[in-house]
Amino acid sequence: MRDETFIRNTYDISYVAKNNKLSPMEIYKLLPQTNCKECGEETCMAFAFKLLNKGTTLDKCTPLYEEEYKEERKELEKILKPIMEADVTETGLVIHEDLCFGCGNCVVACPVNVAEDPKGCAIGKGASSDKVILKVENGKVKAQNIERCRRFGEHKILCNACITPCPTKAIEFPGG
Amino acid sequence: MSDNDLIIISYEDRNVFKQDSPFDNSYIEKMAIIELTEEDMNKNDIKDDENILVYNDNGEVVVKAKKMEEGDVGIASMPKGPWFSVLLPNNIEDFYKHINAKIKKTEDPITTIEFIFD
Amino acid sequence: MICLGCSCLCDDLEFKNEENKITVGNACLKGFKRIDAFNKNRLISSINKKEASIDDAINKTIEILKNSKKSAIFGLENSVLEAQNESIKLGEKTGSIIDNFSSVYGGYLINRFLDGSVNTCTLDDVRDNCDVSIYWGCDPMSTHPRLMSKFSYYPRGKNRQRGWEEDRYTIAIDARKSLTANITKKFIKVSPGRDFELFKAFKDVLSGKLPKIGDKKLLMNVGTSIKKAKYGVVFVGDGLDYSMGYMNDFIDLINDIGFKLQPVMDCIGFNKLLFERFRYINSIDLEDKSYAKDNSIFNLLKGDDIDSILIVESDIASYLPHKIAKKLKDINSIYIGPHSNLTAYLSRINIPSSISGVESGGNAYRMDLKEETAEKVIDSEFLSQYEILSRIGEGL
Ligand code: SF4
Ligand code: SF4
Ligand code: SF4
Repeated sequence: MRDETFIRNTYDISYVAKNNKLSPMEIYKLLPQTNCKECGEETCMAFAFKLLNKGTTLDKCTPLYEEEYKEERKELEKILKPIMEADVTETGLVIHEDLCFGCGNCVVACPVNVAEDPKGCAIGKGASSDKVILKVENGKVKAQNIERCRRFGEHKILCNACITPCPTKAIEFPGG
Repeated sequence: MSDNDLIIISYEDRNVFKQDSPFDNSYIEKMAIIELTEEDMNKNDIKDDENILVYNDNGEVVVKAKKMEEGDVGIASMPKGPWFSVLLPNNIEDFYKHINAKIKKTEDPITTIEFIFD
Repeated sequence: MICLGCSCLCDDLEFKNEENKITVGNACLKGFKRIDAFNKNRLISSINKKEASIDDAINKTIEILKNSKKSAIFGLENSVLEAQNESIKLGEKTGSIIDNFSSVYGGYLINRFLDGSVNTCTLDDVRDNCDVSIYWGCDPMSTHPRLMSKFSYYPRGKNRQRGWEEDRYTIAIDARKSLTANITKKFIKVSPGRDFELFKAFKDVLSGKLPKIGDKKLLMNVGTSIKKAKYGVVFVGDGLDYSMGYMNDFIDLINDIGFKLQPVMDCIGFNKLLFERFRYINSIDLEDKSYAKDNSIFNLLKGDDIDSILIVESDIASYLPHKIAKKLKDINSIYIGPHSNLTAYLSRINIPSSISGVESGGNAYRMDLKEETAEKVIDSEFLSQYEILSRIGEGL
């Protein structure tokens, strides 16, 4: 229906450098550096890049969970936490609180919300799962779990599902 | 500066809540307004946020002019509420028809609720 | 918890009260404000603008009603069934006229909705099946903010699994580009008071003729979608009622195209109650259970038939012509409600009540007449409307 909705976007590595103070090197230093490929990546460095861009999660690196790397794992969890729970503006999604009036259109239309919350968002209700991205609280929509958004990560696409149904244009991704 | 005949349609403002006090400034800011097209504003030499007198046979009221984003020339809109009610006819047969009114630029302040109802 | 903020009666609210900090999940802003306003702009008990105790205000009301030649009871559109029933009881005791907002807007449509002469369905049916919805003279995005996200447009339903872009076609018909018109797939702008012509044009299109007025391509396009609809619903609001004098024809059209009707109006629950008891939805004289146009609030306040009026949670003064609303100052007017508003300001006696569904519980009807039970979530010292009305009744 809307052609622009699902245009695939290529993985843009410059995004990493621009948006995060944390460097891939810092992450790499804490990884096992054995290039064992358990995580599905060719090298530990590639895995570090992907982590930083939310294209993968730490648990994919199984060796990290062995006793030997316990300290490193803890440290990684600590430094990656702010990225995984990145604040909305940092990741691009902007909600204009003054315009939003909590109608829930975006909550129900977001494909991630629908997939994560079959008993709630998927049938029109408000969010009933912690895993959703958009949830209305005190009459305004709030974003969380932003790393699940289809606009982020390696396979990001220009998802518009939360933007088009908003009657007041309260949701925006500046710069596309 | 000429008087201008307008059709006024009314609407419910989503930003006004039943719990709001009609004497709050924020309520007055949202309710004591008339939305006009740019053409109608220019025709009457009115700028955004200026006070204008809206009047017809039923009464007159001073409200703030606001520019309508999208609309037809000659059609203005006002939120349903105390200010719009001044322009409503006393006759139930005419009540459901659209409201006609004229507008004029004015230096007078926004009409207060006390003034309308006291 | 259940939200009584509008006749959507959303049942998925998450209410938290931690150290007097209230958090409400899932309610729209309108619903949240209703809860959050428990400590804002509350009505103060008063007699002739002087603060008085609630007992005094209630006693004064009893005295007024005792001495009244003819009284009226108005409002209760946003009250719970228990209070609505109590108001009928009180009205029968005093031989009052009972009326509500539907005598100003939407009455005829609601009547047809209730008397079974037009097809209806539940909102759950709408969610599961509806593929074409028309919003005629209503702006649910402004008045019933979650109607379209919960039921009519964006949710996936049993037989509508592919999402709104593919599965649902929506048309807004209004005199202005409303919030609803911003998101529907088609918007037909109709000049104020010209709905009837548009409706004729639709008839032409549906019978295969070219429409005589309007954007022909748009109308043909919309007409085709209406013809193809498997499960169509027309949502109607007060915008239509006042611009069209041909309600019967309109309803015939809805029946002809096999669509269902859903009025988007809050008074519908109380209307159902009155309809079941008296076969009328408003303007009823409880003395002899008769209906008359002159019993509508508009004509009552315009004329001199009543000397007192009891208004329950309805800001009617903001909607009536100001000269008629002013009449409230000249008769014995009593306002009962949780918050102060223009009607309370013009009334002689103010009796504060709890917020229904927040500070007191009760039952209510959703717009499709599904019954829900709301519970109390915040403690307060305010009497419920039910309690106030029954105390007045007992005192008579
Ligand atoms: S862009 Fe898509 S995935 Fe991301 S929040 Fe919006 S609707 Fe959900
Ligand atoms: S962002 Fe827009 S669509 Fe989402 S809840 Fe707010 S107003 Fe509704
Ligand atoms: S749509 Fe109506 S019932 Fe639902 S949360 Fe909003 S105000 Fe409450």
